[in-house]
Amino acid sequence: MMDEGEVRALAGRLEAMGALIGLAVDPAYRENVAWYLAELLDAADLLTGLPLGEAIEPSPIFRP
Amino acid sequence: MTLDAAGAVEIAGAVRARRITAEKIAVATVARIAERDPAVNCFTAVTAERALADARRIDAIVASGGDPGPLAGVPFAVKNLFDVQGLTTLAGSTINRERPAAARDAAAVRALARAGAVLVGALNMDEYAFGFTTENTHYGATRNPRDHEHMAGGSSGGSAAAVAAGLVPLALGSDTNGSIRVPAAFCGVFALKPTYGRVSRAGAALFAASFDHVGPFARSTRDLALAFDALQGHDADDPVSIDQPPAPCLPQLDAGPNGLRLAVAGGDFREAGDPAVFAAVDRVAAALGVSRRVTIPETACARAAAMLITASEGANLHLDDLRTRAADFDPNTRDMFLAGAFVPAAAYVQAQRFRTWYRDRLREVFREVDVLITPTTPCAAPRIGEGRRDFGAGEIWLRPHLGVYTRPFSFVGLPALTVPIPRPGDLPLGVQLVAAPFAETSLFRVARRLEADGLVAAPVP
Repeated sequence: MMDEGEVRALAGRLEAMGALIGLAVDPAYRENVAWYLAELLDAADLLTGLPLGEAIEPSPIFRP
Repeated sequence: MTLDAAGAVEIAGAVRARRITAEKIAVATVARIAERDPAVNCFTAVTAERALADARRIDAIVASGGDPGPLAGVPFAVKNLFDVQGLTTLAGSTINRERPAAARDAAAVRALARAGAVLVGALNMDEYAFGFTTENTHYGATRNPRDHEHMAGGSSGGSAAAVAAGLVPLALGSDTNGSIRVPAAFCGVFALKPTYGRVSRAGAALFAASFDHVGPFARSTRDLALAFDALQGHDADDPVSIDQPPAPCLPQLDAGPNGLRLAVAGGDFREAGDPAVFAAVDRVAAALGVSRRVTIPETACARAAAMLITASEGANLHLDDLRTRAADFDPNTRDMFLAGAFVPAAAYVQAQRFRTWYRDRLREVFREVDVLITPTTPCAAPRIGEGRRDFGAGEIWLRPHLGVYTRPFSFVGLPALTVPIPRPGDLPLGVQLVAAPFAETSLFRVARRLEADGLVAAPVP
């Protein structure tokens, strides 16, 4: 779990991160967006630490 | 017949037997909505003209000796993310107001209309279905009909509240992480999130395509089964629709749970909630004679993966608007969508791979169990505006936590039915019944037994 300081630091990086993907986050929203993003990155951390094995594929909807 | 408390079966029976006309029911329903909806704020549009025209058409079929369908003259309303011909599909937003009106009804709306039901309007929701509260900044909060100071839940809050308030006997909603089940539990009604792919989503605005489901709300198991039976079936217009023969639930409704293997979910499903919700599960288990408990592995990862996929797919759908007009979003959803745009692609793919792994674990569970019993929500409906709460392990954000028991099942598309536990002098609670894919019939058999025993009910306040 990110602490308050880390979330604030993440908010500070949102401008640069947004520039990379063409998404400008209004300064008024940044702190709140950073809280949600911190939660998502925690979730990503939890999942990417889980060994799944190469045989496990996503379930695509795509049908040729 | 008291029309506000009358169920779909009762209304359809009366119309078919010519004891009342569908037109009279439509007129009374529209009048009731005009009188009572301002206090609860469920409806964003009332389709009075269409309702009258459809009702007269049903009456003409009855008069000519034809079959008007099993839902003859039954009023229903839909979450405003379903296309309704002639209405703009708002999906809870103001951005969508600029879009043209829908040229055709959504598949689920057509299915109910084909069965004789009469559409009376569109219902409030969280913007783009991202939320569990229906505290919509643009259209106002939908209030819980059982206590107006409390939230209706979401994102299908208008659907649950309209049924609970007696404005309509049937409504349609959508469920991505719990958006049918959470508001149904808070408002004290029955609702079903069917198996993924069982009911067509064609013509419904998507939120996170991997998990989006369509399902009905009602005040009895019989009405719910009647609606579900009209809705289920393959539709080539929905890419995830599964070509599986329909399995009507109504004929099996009174079969009882004998022969079904029932169990209570332990582990995470006994944590992070109010003691009252676990007591409600225990009451249901005791009434059914269930003592078995099973633990589902890695539910924390399932919730994490569901969050990542939801946020990523939601952000992807709305990326253009997030780039160009973020200020026009509801502040309650905007920041979540913006955050979703920054999820690393590798994490999204890992979440989708985990979904396959977790589905296989749940298949193992459901080889041993037919119906699993869990709480639907961690608490009764919170007060409107409540932001944080302590469930015993420190204060947490309440809103995302409201789906703590529903997310792990929509994540892998399992059917789940929530039954309402009335509590005199207090807000109702929901108990969730979950089954293997396409085993909705098992859910109805258990739910109906609980209803017949008087343990679960959805009285109009």
